[in-house]
Amino acid sequence: MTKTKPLFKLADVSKVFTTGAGDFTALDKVNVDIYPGEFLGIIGKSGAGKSTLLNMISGVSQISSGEVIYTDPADGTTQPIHALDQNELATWRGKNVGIVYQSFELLPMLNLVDNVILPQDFAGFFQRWKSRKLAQELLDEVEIGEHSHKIPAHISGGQKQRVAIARALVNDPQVIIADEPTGSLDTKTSDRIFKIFEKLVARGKTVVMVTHDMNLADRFDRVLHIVDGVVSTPELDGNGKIKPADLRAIAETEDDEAENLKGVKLDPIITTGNTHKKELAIKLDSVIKTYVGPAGEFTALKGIDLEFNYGDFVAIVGKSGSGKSTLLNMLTGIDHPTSGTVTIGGNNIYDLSESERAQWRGKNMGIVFQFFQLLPTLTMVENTMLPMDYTNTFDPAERFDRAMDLLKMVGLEEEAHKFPDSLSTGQQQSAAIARSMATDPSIIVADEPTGNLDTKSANTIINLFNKLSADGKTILIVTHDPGLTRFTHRTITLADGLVVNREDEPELSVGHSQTDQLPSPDHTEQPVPVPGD
Amino acid sequence: MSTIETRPRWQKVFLDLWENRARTALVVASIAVGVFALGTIITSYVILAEDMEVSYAESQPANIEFNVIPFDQSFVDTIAKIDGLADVEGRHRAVLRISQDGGSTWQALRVVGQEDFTQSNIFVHHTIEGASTPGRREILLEDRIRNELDIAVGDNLLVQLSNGTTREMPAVGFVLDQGVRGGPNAEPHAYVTLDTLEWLGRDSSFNQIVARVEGDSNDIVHVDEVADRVEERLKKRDDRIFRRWTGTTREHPMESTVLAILGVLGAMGALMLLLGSSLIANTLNALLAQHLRQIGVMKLIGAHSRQITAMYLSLIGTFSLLALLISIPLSAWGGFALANYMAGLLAVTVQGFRFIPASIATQAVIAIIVPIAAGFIPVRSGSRTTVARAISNTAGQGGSSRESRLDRIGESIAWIARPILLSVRNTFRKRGRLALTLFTLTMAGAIFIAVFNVRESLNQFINSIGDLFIADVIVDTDRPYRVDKISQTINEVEGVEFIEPWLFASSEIQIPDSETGEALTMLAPPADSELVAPRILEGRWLIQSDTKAVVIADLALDRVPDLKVGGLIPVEINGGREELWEIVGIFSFPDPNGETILGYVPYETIAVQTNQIGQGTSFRVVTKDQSLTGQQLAAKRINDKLDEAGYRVRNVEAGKEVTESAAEAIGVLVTFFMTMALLTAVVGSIGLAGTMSMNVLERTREIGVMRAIGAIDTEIMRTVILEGLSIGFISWVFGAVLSFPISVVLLRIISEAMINSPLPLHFSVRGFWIWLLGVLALATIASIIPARNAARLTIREVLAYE
Repeated sequence: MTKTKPLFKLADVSKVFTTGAGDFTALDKVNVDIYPGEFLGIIGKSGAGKSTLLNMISGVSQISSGEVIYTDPADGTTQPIHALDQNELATWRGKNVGIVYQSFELLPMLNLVDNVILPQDFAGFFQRWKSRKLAQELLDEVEIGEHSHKIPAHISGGQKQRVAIARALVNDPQVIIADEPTGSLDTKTSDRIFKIFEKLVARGKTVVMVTHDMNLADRFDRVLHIVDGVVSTPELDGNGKIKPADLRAIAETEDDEAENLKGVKLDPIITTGNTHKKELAIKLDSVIKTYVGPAGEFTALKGIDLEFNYGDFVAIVGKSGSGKSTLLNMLTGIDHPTSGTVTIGGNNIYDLSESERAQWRGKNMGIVFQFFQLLPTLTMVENTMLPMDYTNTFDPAERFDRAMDLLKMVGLEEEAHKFPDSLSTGQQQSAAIARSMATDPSIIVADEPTGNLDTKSANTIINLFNKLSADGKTILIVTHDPGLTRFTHRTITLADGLVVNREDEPELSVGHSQTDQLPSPDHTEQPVPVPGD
Repeated sequence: MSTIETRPRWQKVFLDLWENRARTALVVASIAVGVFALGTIITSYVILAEDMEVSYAESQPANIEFNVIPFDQSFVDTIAKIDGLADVEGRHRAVLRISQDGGSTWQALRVVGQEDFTQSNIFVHHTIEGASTPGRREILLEDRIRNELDIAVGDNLLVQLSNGTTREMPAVGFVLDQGVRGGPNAEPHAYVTLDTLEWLGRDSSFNQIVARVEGDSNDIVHVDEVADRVEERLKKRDDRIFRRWTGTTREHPMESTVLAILGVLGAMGALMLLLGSSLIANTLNALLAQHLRQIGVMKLIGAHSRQITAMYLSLIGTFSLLALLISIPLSAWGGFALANYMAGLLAVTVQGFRFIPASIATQAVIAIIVPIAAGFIPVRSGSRTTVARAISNTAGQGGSSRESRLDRIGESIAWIARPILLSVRNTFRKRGRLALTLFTLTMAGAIFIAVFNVRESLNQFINSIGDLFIADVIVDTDRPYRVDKISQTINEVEGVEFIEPWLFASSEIQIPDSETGEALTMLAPPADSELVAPRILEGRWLIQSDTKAVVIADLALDRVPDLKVGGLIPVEINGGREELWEIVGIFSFPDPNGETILGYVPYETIAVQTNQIGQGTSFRVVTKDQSLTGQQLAAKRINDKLDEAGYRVRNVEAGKEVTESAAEAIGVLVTFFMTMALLTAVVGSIGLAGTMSMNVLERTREIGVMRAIGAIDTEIMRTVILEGLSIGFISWVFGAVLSFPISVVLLRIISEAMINSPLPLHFSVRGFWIWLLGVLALATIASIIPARNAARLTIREVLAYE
């Protein structure tokens, strides 16, 4: 790795987003040099600003201040990326940068060969036979050549990611930028993809990769750690690896954040006390879920047996692809198990029709979605009243007062007549929780309820759940953040579609800190992220 | 689907078309409908404009016609010597009653007698079937009669003679005669030789002169100059000229009317295209919104804005080409069919199916320009979007970012449930899309309601004609009969309640400083008649004490200078001496043919002046059963009874038949407009269905959330359908308002084209209600499929966890 002249030079780069709740600084005066031929990892938790940084490098987003300079290693000419217009950026990217996203971003109607050669067409390099031959070679190189005439829908996620890498390479760019390329893949596939990048670096390509997976930190040439838009460079040992002390320091910082969740004053909870603690609420018996798609069969749940009582506060954890959201779908009656039974309150919920289940769900189960999912044309109070209308619970005359009480409980009384757009993400999440309690359900299921929240908001939410659980509600939280598990009564850990002991989960048993898996530090809410962030 | 070896970006364009066939079909259909409508009208316009001229000229039309008192061949020869005439022929025009069912039903026909049809050079018939000329004791019929009376070549027809006896003669052929005036409303014609006419007990002399001029027969000034010379010669023989008509060789008398109507249809076609283009704009907007992420990806991997623009404009161009492939042959066929139909009504022959270059060129231009114009802004803004925005998770969602009153509609109304609020607010969410959808539906509704208003106005017009023929059965006789005697006979017919005698008199209004007069047909009902109720525009109706008083048709105002109520006009009755008659009233009777002025005069006065006291030539009968069938039955019985008693009956007609034929002609016209209005409504509802589909597609996530918090299938469907109904209702309100000016303009054009006179506008409440129900039904239908799709979405699909 030559460290003569940097390929990219980022000087005092800042990015400020304007949101409904005010300005939010995603990157704060970042100074980074990226050198030709290096494998640079950018690590940090969701919302830290990693993808924003990547977008600044690739010219996808405009910077608010500072400069990003690209130096062509061939002739030493420099180009101010921040000053290029959209078309100039497209030309520059087409020739110099290959981009790989977590969500692959293949064009769905084109076959794999056409997807790969599309950048050649736009850059003016397209030659009918030569380009197709090259695409086939690249697909062979990423070991998917035999599927070259399939469309993306007919291959698996890992295969799509390999196609995206082939596409990124087709114009022989100097640099490959990859945003969480392994984020949605299982461990084995992730490793396979990562090795492809390592091979590219070995061939002299520069790879800049964003990841929240600390396990990969040791495999990069260099790592940038990003927290709250501030970039730091951990010290490396003689082998070019991050010093253990630095890893521990990062972990301790995030543990401190987790500690902040304790000791928060509780607000009164509005429930009718219609549940009975310690009685069996939910029972899953040999639940298997297999998805059948053009890419073949995939078993997301491989035989789950679980029981939850009223009053339980349970965390379901596991990394992406472990099956936890599928489990959530089974618990909420959102998706049918391939086999096995789900009994809630003594009834097999899959004996009900879709509409009956919707009514049952509305009355008995509150769902908090990761991205809130408030209806944008209704105000906060109207959103909160909606489940009562749908399920005809509570007298119509009482509904408004109840909705207001619930909003007051989550601190949104003042915002009751505002639309979701004008609120921060934390406020929207709080409103989603208020809505989940509208019909006074006995079970609340929350999907990553603190994933997009600052510490203060997260504190409020966790305490709320604690109190609800104390009142006899069953609270199930799905999260990839083991830091939350210390506040719950039980933790169910999933890996590859099976319930495993905490100690059995490989990702969780490593010796170093799980930096990216802890609550974010206290900062204002983030804007809606671009892919990967 | 195997793909052709081409650049991947064009491969994407092709696959965007192919893989989304339903969307491609929707966009292509919306372009094709408007282009087809306009192409059809242009095709039939050009065909009719060209072929009417050719067909009319080929028939060697008369330039001059005079209806005069009888004359013979030697007088024709005298006229032929007048300078400037190329051809002159004498004809006999009379009315005959024929029956094709052995005498059960009778039909009055205008019969034209000529010496030798094979020698005729004026208004040469175009043979449709059978013989082209009638032989001795044979009858040739106008083609229109074939369907009306279900007659075939070779059928024997009974012809009633004046003395009541009948003769049998074969129908030898069917022809088109462009000498028939009045278009589809004209009385049916038949043709016999003069000796046949004599055999039928009629006068074999001529009573009409038809002539063609030498020189420029398309110069109406020249034609009129020659006609003046002919008239001068006619007056030397006898002053009584009942009718004069002049025209050029090229211009069919109905051409301007037909082309005006086609012009209106063309305007509606253009409007439909405009509506289609708003639908295209909506669909392309949605398409670009759906493709925003793909656009972002393409820009991310090196695509320029202009490359993206070119791709999507090519996509639109392909939509246009596909639409053209459909519209060009269909419009050629549709235009020819329309032209052929209208030509049939006018006895014109069209030259055969053909493609009209002007129509194809116009279709090509509009099919390319309109969609590209409609799609250019969304394509441009889509291609210029930043990569960051294009690939963000919020791209293409939501509506206006600024809050407005519409966002909070219903907030202060406590009793409105949130699901209803959702529907109402969702209606106003995508304002641009809503505006385009509303525009389409509003125009459809406005035209629909306007067509009803126009129909109502035309019906009122027909009713006003009907007010002149209130009797259930009208009996016209060849000569005057004593009222008491004929009434006794008619009264013997079952169901007859009342008989009223009328007299007729031919007269002429003498115009000062002019050698010609204006023919005035005097209708003389009893002053207290309840069987005539014309719409009096000025003055009053006849009263018992009136003597030389006339209530005259408003047509006279255009023909006779200084005519006014209270004024005196010089009139000659039956060629007698000139007398002054007082105009006591003017009534509305816009005569479509504009030839004869009608005037109502007191029965008693005419009876005295024509020596027909206690007699009548027309008898208005009131029957018990006043339905059309009842009237027709009574007419048949009266006819049989009078025949049996030896009366010389010219015609017996059910009262409602008089208005029936006018109503039929109007019905055809209204059907055309209604078809266009319905097509517009179809375009509108396709637009609404497209809008609702797009709305549902964009809100699948929200629908999943609604399900997750307890909404059942019917709630989801109700939310979507209610939104569609809200759009439908709003469009109805706008459409109802807009229908007023459209009604005025449409009626003006139609009435000017049909009767050369503007008609008063009457509103049809029914039109407003029918459209309200129609648009709500269309909105429901247009929303049902999107609503069902919405209800079928499972939460897993829309929230897609993994």
